[in-house]
Amino acid sequence: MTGLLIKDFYNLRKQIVWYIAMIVLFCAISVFVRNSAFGATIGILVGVSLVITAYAYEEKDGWNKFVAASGTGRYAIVGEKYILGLIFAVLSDAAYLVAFILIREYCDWLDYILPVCMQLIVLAVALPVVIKFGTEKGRVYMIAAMAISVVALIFALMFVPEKWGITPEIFTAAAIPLSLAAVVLSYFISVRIYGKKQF
Amino acid sequence: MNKLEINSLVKTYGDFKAEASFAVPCGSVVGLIGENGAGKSTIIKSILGIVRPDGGNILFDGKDIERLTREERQQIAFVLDDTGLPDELSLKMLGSVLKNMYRKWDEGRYKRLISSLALPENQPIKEFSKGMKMKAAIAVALSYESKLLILDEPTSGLDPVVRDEILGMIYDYVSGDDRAALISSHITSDLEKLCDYIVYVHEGKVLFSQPKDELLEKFGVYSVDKKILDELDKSAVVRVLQREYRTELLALREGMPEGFDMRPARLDDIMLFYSKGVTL
Repeated sequence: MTGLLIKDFYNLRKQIVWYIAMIVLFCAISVFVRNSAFGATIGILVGVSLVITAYAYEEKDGWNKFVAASGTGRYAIVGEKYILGLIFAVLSDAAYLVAFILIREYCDWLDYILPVCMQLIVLAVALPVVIKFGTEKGRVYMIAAMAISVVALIFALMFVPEKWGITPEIFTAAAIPLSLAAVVLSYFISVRIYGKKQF
Repeated sequence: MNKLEINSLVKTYGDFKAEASFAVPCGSVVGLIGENGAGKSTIIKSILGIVRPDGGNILFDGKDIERLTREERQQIAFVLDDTGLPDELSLKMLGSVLKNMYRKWDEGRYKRLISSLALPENQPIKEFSKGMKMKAAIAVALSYESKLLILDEPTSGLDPVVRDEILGMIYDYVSGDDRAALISSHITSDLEKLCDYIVYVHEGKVLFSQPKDELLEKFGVYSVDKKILDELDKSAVVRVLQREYRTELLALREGMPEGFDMRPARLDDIMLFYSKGVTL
């Protein structure tokens, strides 16, 4: 798996520089205008975009065939993409955390937790779709699936806590483990999809 | 002893069905020939686990290929027709990737191969010519410990000098102990130089699998007129090709009467007669 990660970092080295610059810029804007939305949005985009770009490179190069023939198992091949997504998520979340702390007095903790959870859910939805349909076809399905997931999450946030008597504290405590569980479930779905793929 | 055995392999894609049974003996080079779309790549992809066969089994060193451990599977080196190497990486970067993927990766050997093949170490692979890309793929395949080398169209579209270099590397590989190679190509002249056995795949089926020398000695190409054709022993005639001014036959030399204008059949002839010719 280390080899696969190194390969993706080499493949994405130019894009990573741009994305880091974007993260810094958007977090700076958040601090400047005292609104966390900018830093939050870029984090959601970065995690999933880089992973999908990495997958697109593999399709273009025929690396999928190479890696399948190399004896690397499907758990490692699929797992590497999730780890890659989580690495980018952690990096963007760390930058967003700095921005968030600087404007803490204007925001609530939920403003930090919610985008982090959305980032994980977007990753959990996007990867199985892209592995199933490929980046070309999968992009359309993925956008639709992500939009539905995010709208459903916002809807749940607006109505469920009040109706079921869930306090913001309980929600905050439960949101991250539930999002991580979604990523784990998504990983096993992706492994199953990948196991049926032929190149 | 066979390094690789393919027993009643079946793979279906819609209306196309590939069926194959043949073996790759230790110490030999087996050439897989056939027209474009005959099923050669499907057989190779099935061996490499890139596609899943619908039936039959494949044995590597007597063990079902489905049950090989990661280490055992990495004893099968391969070169894919499109190489599959990441275009954005240089060979130096690729080395650091592959040494973390292959348990028995030999970095020193990889560097020596890159240098001996005059490949640039720091240039992205996307800037390589087709020949350079193929040489890079072969350098990769030869840089880890393996027992079987599988190559899918490694010389297609390359100039004779590069082709000769590549054939030399395959020859050197097989001269090692307990090794074998399976090479698919429709450049039959390359296979005539290199192979010990020929497997001919036509419309998804293996028409024959034979030692190359026997095969080339067995068949002859005869040029006859129609009257003589009627008088010939039909069992010796394998295929007939009707040309504008004459009739050409691919026939078993043993069964043909002497005195005919005959030239020994080349692999090209055999392929041409089997694909375009008719039986009597």
